[in-house]
Amino acid sequence: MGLSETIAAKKVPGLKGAFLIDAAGACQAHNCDQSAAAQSAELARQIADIVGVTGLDTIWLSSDAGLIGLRVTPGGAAGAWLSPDGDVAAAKALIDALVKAPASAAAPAAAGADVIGQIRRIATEYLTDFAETALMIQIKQAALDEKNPKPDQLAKLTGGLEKAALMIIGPSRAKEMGEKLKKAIS
Amino acid sequence: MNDLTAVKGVQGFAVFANDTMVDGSAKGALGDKIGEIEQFWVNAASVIANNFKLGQVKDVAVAGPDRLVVMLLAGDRTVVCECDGKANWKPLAAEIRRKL
Repeated sequence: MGLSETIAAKKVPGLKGAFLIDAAGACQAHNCDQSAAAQSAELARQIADIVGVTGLDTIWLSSDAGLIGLRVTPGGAAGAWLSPDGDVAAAKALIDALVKAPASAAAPAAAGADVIGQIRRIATEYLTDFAETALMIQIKQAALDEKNPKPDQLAKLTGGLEKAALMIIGPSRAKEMGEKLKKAIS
Repeated sequence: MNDLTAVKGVQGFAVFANDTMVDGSAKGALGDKIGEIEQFWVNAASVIANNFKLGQVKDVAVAGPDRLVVMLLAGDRTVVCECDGKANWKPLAAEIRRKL
C-alpha cells in the first residue's frame, strides 16, 4: 500500500498532509512540500543520533497554525501534518502504518523503462563524461533491471549516483542532481 | 510554579533556561539525557516548524515505545516533563499548560 492509499485507509481527522521517505532518501509527499519533509526528516534523524536515546524516534510539535508528527526509522521516515485540532492518535496510527509499509511503497509510480532515460539525461547533465561509468556501476550495485525497474532499485540507483557525484562535482551540485533524480523517479 | 507531578501522567519535571536546567526546578523522576533532549529537540522543532511555515512552536513531544518527554515553551523558558510513555501527549500538554 502506498502513501495515498494508506492516507485514504486511515482517515485521519484534521490531516492536512503526509509524507514518506524511504531508506535511499526518496520522498513521496501528499499535500506538503517535499523539500520541507525531506529536510525535516534528515534533521530529525541527525538529532536522534546525536541525543542517542534508544527508541526515542518520534517528534511532535504544535503551534497555533498546526501540528506535525515525524518518526524516523532505519528504513526511512514518515510524517503527518495536521490542523491544530487534528486527531493525534489517528495521525500516530497513520505514521505507524507508513513506516511499516514496504520500501517499494515510497515510489510506486516510478516503474517503467523511460525513467532510466530520464536518470541518464540528468546524470549526463551533471557528470558529463563520468555519467555512463557511474550509471553502469550504480545499476549493477542496485541489481536493477533496466527494462523493468523496481521502485526500491531506482531509489538505490539514484541514491548511489548522488553519493558518487559528491566526489566528482562537489556537495551542492551533487545535492541538486540528487533532487532532480528523486523527482524523476517519484 | 505548581507541582506538575500532580498532573496524571507526569512523572517528573524541570525548567530549562538557555538549555540549562534552572537550579532547584526539578521534581520527580527525569529520564536519561533529559538535558540533551531539551537542548537538541526543541531547536529541531523550531527548524521543522519553520520548514512547514507553522510559526512559533508552543509544545514539543519526543516519544518512543516506552518513553514520552513533553516540553512546553513559555517565553525564554522550557518546561520539560517526563511523562507516562503510553499517554497521549496532546491532551497531557494542554493539562500541564493549564497547571503552569
